[in-house]
Amino acid sequence: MISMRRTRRGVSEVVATLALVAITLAAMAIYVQAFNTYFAGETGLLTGIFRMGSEQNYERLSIIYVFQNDTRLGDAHLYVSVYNYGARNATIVKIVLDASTLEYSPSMVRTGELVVLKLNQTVSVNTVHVISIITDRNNVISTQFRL
Amino acid sequence: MPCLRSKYALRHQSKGITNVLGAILFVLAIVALTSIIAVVSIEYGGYVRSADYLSTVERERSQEELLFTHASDIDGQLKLNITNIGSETITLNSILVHNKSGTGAIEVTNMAALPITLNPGMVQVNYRIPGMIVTPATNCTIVFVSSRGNSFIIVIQGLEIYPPNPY
Repeated sequence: MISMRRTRRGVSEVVATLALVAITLAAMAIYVQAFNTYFAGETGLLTGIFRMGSEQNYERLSIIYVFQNDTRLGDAHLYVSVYNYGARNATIVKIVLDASTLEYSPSMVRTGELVVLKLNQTVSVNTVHVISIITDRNNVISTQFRL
Repeated sequence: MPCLRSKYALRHQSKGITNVLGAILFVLAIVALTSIIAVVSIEYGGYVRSADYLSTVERERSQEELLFTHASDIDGQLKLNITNIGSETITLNSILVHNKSGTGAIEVTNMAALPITLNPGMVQVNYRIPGMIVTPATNCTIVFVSSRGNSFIIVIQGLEIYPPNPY
């Protein structure tokens, strides 16, 4: 019985250990890679909520100034200057003026940048208006103004 | 004794997963659970950091305050004394000038390359807005924008600054 066990063929203990370590490392690498790939894209509900909340917090916009051309001129527009003081570039996707949504093609405001948005809209003077800017991260920046 | 032997044999013949497979499943379950906990912790930690960033920025933002005083307008060059009367260091990196005479042009000067940085109590003496010429007919609004998104507005009308110096 003893002689049979001794004559059995197999890898040595050192080789077996090395093979085990190699297999473990390879498995870990595959696991980590798959893990990163998964969480770099769409994530689960809970982590998605945290991540979206973080990105919303880092995105900060401020409405600096609102101005309108003389409405007696043919080419009158409403100008809104917006400053990005956050840590993320922001993309404005929608502008709401006094409860009506304006036609607006999305534009990006980079961090530390002051931009003047030109809107194809005029408003009445000496009246209080409310303007809201909505970003693609669903942040809403609102202010009241009177011209 | 025969009775005991048959019970022992039965136990060994019962079908199920092997010890090795059970151990592998156990390890996989532990790894999966640990990974989920790690990811949620990381994301939650990130959220807490962003909330901390937000509260810090908004607190500092609420403590920014500037005082503008008219220095001189010799040769049509408007010169301003800008004093930081708040409790935070202020960096002004954009100026928006709205010329209300004529068609109402609006002009943005980006000073990001050469911002004005004022520590609390510090005064920027004789600051001249680039390209700004004032005359008695000048009627414009000047908005200084800080790096924290605060706007400081002055109006130049007839060589006077509004609001006037309250001190």
